Amino acid sequence: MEIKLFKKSDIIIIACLVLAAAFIFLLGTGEGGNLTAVITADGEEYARISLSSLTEETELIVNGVTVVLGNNYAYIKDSDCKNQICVKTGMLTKTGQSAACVPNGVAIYIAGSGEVDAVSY
Amino acid sequence: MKHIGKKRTAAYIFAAAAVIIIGAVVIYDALSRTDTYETASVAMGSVLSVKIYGDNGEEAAEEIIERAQSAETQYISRYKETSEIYALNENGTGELSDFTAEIISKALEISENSGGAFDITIGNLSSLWDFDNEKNTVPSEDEITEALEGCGYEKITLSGNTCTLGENQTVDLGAVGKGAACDAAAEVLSEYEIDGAVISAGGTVLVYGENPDNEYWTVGIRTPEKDREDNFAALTVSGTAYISTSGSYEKSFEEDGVLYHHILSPETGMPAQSGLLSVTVVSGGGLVSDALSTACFVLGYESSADLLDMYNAFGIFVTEDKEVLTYGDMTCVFEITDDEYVYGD
Repeated sequence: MEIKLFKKSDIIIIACLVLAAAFIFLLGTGEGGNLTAVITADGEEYARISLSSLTEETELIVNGVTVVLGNNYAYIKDSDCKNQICVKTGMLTKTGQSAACVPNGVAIYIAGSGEVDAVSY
Repeated sequence: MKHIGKKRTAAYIFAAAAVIIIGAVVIYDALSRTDTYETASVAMGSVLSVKIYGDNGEEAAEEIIERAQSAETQYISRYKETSEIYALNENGTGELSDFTAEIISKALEISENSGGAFDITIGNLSSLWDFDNEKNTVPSEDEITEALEGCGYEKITLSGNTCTLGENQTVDLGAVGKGAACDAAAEVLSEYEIDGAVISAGGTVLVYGENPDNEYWTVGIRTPEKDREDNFAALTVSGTAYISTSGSYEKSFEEDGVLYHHILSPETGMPAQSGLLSVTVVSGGGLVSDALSTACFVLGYESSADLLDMYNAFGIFVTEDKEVLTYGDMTCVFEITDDEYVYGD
């Protein structure tokens, strides 16, 4: 007669403990894909939005500048400025990237940890 | 069956211990992670981003942004009617604040040491080409000749805080405004006793103090081609350093198949033809790195050695053939990360 080392219930309990350990580990150390858009107007913070947790696209208008925010992306869609440099900047998808409408005093910056601490350009 | 019971108990203890140990490690890691405050604002004509590690991050960041904005509007902008430089250009002479006088003094010193390759009296020429407003038209020879008449750092006098311009001269500190903002930021960081921070003023970077997550800071260098958002190289540096890049890819236009970029030679009045795509300078000062990256772009690789030595700076030159040459005091580790770019001889 075989004597099993573990009963089925034992295996289930041990499996749960191991899964719990893995879950805690992932929860505690997982930081990837955490993009936050910081929007400032006239030197003051206007909005700080977690792009990673957005499930649908949203628009906001500040100082005549239309900013679009989506799941891990953001961009300036429209502005009443003359040169449209802010609109031409295009999509922001990585930490450290930014766009600004200088005449209207609006900046949008993607905060968070990235591959590098900064980029010189 | 005692031994089977012992093994089962041992397995339970092992699994429970694993959970406890992993939980403890995660909690310890979370608790020891340094507080970070990150924000950005418009300043000096671009985005000023601030990332501060440790306590007082938010207050220090607010102060940094405020100082950069007031530096622009009160002191060094040539366009804001409230600034000292605007008044200086209008009146031809002026009594400057210590802040502005110091910047002019340092910039004049670099103008002289670079043999005029960097020249703060380039204002008439930069207005003529008007890259900031994307004028995108090549001026006529006569227009360039007229604009050049006003150029010449040697015609400025600075005695104490009194500054007098030569005839028809316009001071333009646009090439060093971002570096000056980084210098001001460093003062704030010191006042608030901040241990570590990363400041980027439109691409001129200050890495300050110690990176709490690493032994060193990593700064990417943008690929010097239009519409490329990636980096071709990376710098690894520990402690405080200022990194500035001047590149032909930033503001430029094409006319009849010829590329005209915004880094103008104060001698010819035309975009500098030094065979380079970009120059990155690492030094111990923001204004210094900015001015040197402009000067070295105009001078070219061969003629930049003395200037870099004078300021204990390190220069990275990218040629139009995508060759990378470096020179100077290696306070950092430099590495190319894009195969298209190779080390030159």
